[in-house]
Amino acid sequence: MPAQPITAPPERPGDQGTRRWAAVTEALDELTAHRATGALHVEGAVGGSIYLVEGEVYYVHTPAAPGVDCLLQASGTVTPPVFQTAWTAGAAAGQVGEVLIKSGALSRGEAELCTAAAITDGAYALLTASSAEAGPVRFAAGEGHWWGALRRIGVAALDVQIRKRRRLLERTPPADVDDQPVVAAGRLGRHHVVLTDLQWELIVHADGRRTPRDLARLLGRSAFSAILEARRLVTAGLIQVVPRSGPEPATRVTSEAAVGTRTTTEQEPDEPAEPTDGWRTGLRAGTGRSAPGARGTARRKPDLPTRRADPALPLPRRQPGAALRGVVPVPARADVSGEASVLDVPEPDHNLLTRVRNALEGLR
Amino acid sequence: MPGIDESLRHAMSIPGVLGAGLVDYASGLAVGSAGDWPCGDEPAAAGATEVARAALENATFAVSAAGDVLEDIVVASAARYHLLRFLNAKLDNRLFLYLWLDREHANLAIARHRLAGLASDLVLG
Repeated sequence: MPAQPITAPPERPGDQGTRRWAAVTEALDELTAHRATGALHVEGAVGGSIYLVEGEVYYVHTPAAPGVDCLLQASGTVTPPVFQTAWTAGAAAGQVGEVLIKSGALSRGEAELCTAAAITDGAYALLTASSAEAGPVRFAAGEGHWWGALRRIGVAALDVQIRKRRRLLERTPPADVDDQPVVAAGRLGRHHVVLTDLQWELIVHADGRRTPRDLARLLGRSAFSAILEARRLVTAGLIQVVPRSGPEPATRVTSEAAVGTRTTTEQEPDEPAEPTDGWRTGLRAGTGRSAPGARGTARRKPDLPTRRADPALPLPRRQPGAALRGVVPVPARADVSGEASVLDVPEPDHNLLTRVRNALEGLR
Repeated sequence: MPGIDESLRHAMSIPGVLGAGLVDYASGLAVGSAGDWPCGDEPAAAGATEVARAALENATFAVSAAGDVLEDIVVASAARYHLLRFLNAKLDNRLFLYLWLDREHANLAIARHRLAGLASDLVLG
């Protein structure tokens, strides 16, 4: 069980209660050697927190990978109301996982598997980032996580897992699709394909706006497996990276078949987003661009499960993926259709109206 | 409702069993293991993962009635049985239980039955 906040020193940023390091691995090595208990907070573009009990990792929180709340709810294993109830009952004591098990909503096996998955996935993001992206680091002794210590992984074992995953990803090009919006290819260019379940889910939800990392969160899958399969699908030509507008054409993995409206005419590199990508431009303007920045700014909110629907919101509009259980539809983006408003109705077709009226009269 | 380690301890009580493990076939790594393994648990997990993926990604085994899923894979050698049982959690379920048995002392039907029970206890409770 995690140490309770009762024993933790109160938040006194920067004083003798906290220690600082430049890199995550360095800090973890030292904390493991001292069998420390508490939270290691990582700042930077790939930020997050690593929670330790007696020198072993029992939870990792990072916006770069889905946490247990996302894995459980987006997969439909635990419904949002049940999760919320357990969270209310157990968060203060750092026992949410245990509460879910005791309530029968989750088996101990599932809870352990889910914990292990979240730890490895989050640790991969934090420990493989460069120290420029993940750091500096500070340790808050005694601080615990609401989920609780259901499964502990030693830092050495975690390291083996991470190295293995890294090798797998390095062997699976292309490396530059992980945080790029992807879209399903329009045509296969072959007679048939065989897909795994995850590959299918990725293709179905690749809407030209979400990146593989976003898709992991939407589907409740680990970022690692979503990214790995997305790379395989790009190589197989089943999904494509949506070219971002703007002067960064070097890393595109686009195909000329992707968008019919795009031609290969040269553009001035400094030209800001002309409508080069047809309908995709409008879509992407809403959320696609925010992906890298959001990972940096959204960190260290309180670790509340924030994915529930806000009852105060107006009815959401239907959008791809909104039907998945446990996935909160985002409210309609005002900028989807550019200047066009819902009130901009085209002129009615008088011929059609006349024919409809005549047909209705004929029914009498 | 057993956890991972307890499930593997139960697996070790199946007659004829030499080793048991829970393998993540997304990464090819053992999440947990018990008993002896043919060539160490990490190489065994990697090897079993290749067999599992080959079956999962093969059209011959994929084309089937809706709702049908691969349950297990049996590989038999003259002296050993290798039994792979896929876990069907709603979670990101890329896991299988791996059992390695001595044919002299094992009964394949019993081992399959016990392993199926362990797999469903692990993810359903």
